[in-house]
Amino acid sequence: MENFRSKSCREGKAQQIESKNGINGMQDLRCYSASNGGSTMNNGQTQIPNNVDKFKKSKSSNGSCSKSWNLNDPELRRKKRVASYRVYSVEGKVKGSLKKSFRWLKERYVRVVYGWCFGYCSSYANDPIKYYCSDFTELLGLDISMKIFMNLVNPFDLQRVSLVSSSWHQFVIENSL
Amino acid sequence: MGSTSTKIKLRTSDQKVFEVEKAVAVQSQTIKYFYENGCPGSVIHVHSVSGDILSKILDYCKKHVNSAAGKEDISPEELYEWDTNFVKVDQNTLFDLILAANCLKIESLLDLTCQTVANMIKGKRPEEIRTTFNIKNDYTPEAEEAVRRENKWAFDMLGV
Repeated sequence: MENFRSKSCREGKAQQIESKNGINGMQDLRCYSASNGGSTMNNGQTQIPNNVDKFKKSKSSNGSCSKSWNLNDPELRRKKRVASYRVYSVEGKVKGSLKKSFRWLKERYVRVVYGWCFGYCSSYANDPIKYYCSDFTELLGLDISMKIFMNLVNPFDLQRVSLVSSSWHQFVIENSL
Repeated sequence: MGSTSTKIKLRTSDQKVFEVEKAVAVQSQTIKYFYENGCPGSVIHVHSVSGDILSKILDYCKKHVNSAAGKEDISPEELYEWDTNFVKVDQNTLFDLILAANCLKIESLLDLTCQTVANMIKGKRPEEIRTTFNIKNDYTPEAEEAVRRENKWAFDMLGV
């Protein structure tokens, strides 16, 4: 039972260590976890696989596990450990849901942005005018746009032009049409 | 060089080659400049103009040269009519024509096309202009209201 738990705690990496250390892996594992806590401080021992190191870092609260070392009652130790696993699982769930929601948001936005881009491009492919005339003043440049707007002799038309969009409004004001 | 039968070769952006009478081609100030300053007989590259647009522009130039030279019996009214039909194209082509006319420096065509665009704006409400030219309304409602008020003031000043 205990053996199984500590294995699951190590997420399969335990097997690797176990194979190194033979049948009495359980005790050895504990030792590793204790020494590992220190080793992460001074940047690892060569004999410990990197993955275990990473594992340690990500779940730093593992320290509670090794703290329980001092208490002699095995049953209490076990209970503590079980409690700490539960904390992990809850933590994991919270993290997972947060991650999920962030991913959802991200995908949403990416899709919106890409959708806009591709929509833009595809509309260009089907109908070049849409691509062109997001604003023809940009396409044609200042001189030609001026020429076009200068043809509007009626002040009414210029007023309406400045109401079309703020960039056109700006254009009309800047060039004092 | 002075004879009207001299041909000028033009190569467009899509690598089509047009052989045009000199009198027609020199309607474009740009082509005229290149013709006079380049070697005679060489091909003039018109990079920014596609074949379709250039053939349209050459039609326009031919019509106007012929009518001016009296080769074609056409009254000014008829020519005006022809011009009006000439610019009855989709917006895309129209803007291409404008850009080409600007690049080739054909004043009369540039005037004609710009006037056409202006006519498309004339007498239309802002919403209609937006849909005509597919322009996005980037005003916030408050800003739009402010401009409207400003315009109202302008109208009052004009006594309209």
